[in-house]
Amino acid sequence: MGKKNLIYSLLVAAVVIFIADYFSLLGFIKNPLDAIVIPLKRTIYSASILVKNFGDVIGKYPQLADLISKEQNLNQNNEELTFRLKILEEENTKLRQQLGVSTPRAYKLIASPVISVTRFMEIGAGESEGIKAGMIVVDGSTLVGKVVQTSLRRSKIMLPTDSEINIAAKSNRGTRGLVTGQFGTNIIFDKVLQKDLLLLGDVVVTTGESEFPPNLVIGTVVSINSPDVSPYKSAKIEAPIDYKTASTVFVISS
Amino acid sequence: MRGKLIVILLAGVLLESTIISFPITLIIVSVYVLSVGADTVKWAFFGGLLLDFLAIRALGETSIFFLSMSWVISRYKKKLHFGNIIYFIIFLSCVSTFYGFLFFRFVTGLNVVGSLAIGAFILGIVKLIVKGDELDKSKIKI
Repeated sequence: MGKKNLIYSLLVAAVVIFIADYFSLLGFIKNPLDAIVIPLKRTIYSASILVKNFGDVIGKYPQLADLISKEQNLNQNNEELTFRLKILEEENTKLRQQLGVSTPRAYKLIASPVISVTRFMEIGAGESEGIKAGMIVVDGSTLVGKVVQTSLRRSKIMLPTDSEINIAAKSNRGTRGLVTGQFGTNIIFDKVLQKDLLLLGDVVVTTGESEFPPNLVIGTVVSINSPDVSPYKSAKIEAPIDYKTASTVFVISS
Repeated sequence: MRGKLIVILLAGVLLESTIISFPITLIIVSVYVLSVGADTVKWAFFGGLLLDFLAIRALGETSIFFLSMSWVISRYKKKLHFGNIIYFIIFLSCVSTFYGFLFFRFVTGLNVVGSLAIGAFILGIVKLIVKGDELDKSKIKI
């Protein structure tokens, strides 16, 4: 077969496969292969995290003594705060009962292992676990992203660093704006009115509009860009978690 | 020889679908098609399919991109070869920029420079693996 004919034949084959997949006709081939792909990708991903962490350990070795004492302080603070939180929660529940106010709604979560992070995060749970496109993914009270595509055992999550994501958000001072991604690495709190107060260190959370539940933490403001000629200002946000090294996330199923 | 080239392609596919947002498979495929020749068009097809499956893209999407790129290379072969490095640099920059917009939705200057550097590195490896007489020399035929 000539070189050109070979290219044309393969192009036709690729288009046919593309159309067949568009109409979900290739599930019988793709679904069984997921059983091989998930452990393979998980192994590579875990190895990459180990390498990244090893680099961090080497880089921070001179500050080791400092870090150990900081960790001890944080542990102590954590224990104290956990104790205080428990007391406040009990008090809150009693007050709610007295006032006849219902307790806040608890989400039903599906724990899923992360198997890769590139432009999207991929998790080793899919339609067989009840995950559907549009569901929201969290880690604790931090927003991780939105499920955009699923297969039988895998799902693809769009992260807040993605330029196609738009999240209605507000700061802890009530300043409203729109969170979107930039270059696949940065999170931008955009469309903030110049007159609204926004300061470094402000925490940005979801407003609860559109498909994102309210009060999920997106990140903290680390820099502000306020051009004189624009009616809006924007801020760069740093997420409390590193998406590239997450190992388990939770999909909100209801 | 072919086994080693396929292993490099598979490694590229696994890296791109698991830990990096960088068009490494595209660079490998373009270097193969430019240097080894028409046989590697099949690898472009299967490499694209594998990448689509591993990265949960629509099956065939990347294959169509890789094959279209292979068609452009074969169509403009007299211009696109390693003897004419300027055309090669322009071609790889354009194709990696377009791929970046299509699949990652962003392109930075650093990505384009990285693509060129990795392209040169992979070409060096291919030259080591493939014997000189097996490299595609058709462009110097008169």
